[in-house]
Amino acid sequence: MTLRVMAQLIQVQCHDDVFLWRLRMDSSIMIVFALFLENVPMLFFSLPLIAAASVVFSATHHESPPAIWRGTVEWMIWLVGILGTVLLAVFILSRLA
Amino acid sequence: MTPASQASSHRRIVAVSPDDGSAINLKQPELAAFLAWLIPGLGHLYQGRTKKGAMYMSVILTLFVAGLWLGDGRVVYASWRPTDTRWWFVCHAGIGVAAVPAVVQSVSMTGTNHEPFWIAGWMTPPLLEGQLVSREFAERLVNKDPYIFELDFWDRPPYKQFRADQVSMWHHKLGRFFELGTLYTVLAGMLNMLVIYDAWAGPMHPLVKQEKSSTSSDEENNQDDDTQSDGTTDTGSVSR
Repeated sequence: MTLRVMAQLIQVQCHDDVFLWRLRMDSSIMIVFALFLENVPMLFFSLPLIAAASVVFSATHHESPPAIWRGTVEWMIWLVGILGTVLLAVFILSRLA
Repeated sequence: MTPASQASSHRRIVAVSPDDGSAINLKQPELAAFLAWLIPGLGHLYQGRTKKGAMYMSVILTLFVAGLWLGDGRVVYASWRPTDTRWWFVCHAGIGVAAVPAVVQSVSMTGTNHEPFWIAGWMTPPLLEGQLVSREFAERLVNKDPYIFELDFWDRPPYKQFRADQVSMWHHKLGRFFELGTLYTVLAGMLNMLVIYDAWAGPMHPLVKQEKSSTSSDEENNQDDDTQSDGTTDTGSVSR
């Protein structure tokens, strides 16, 4: 909530100064960043899900423990990369639209 | 006993490890799959794949218990009422025996007792408007649940009739943790489906493209070899 208020304050300040277009652009990025930070605690709860899914996905493709752990790391990188990119893209587009 | 029946009684179903090519004894795959559904990892323990079984058991049960804890024990319930159909329970059911209490609670609530089997209310479907409950359970809810008051019930002897919506109360109390708990438990159930498959058929093999040989005669020879090798195909599982 605090971050949201800060973001709104920044937005109001920047809207007052209609001549500083560049500053407005900076502020919109800051708003997006602030709103993203506000959701970080909930994003934290997705990490155990990704870890568990990576372990199970890897274990269903391998049998020996070393291969399973190697596969887990690979799956985790893929899942974090894909889900993170999609989430970030959706988040930014929803805020800038 | 005839030689043919002896051979069938000694038949061993194995899968091939994708890591080192060693044989994995699947014993009775159907029984292993059932055990894997009953308790995650139990099928692998039965097959002697202890490390894998212990890992599956710890990961999936931890995920399920964490989801239950986040959702205050409310997120796993079986309900097929017209105004409250809990489709997520189809995924929850994949976890096996851990989801059975939800069925027991649901059957008990819709039965003649109008109260959950375990009166503490763990995994009980939410009370809907107009639902009849036993007086004992209503009193317990009034005393234990800060969201429910005496005025939330009409007196319908020998029962009490609920006049509010408990799902809304849960959402108000838990906020996002209701969805998070649901997600954790649903994912645990769905991941166990993969574990069941692993117990039944062994580890999945990556798709391997067959190299095209230069002459058609080589292909024919390969096909002949495939069909002669213990009557198996390249599915990863073979029976001996």
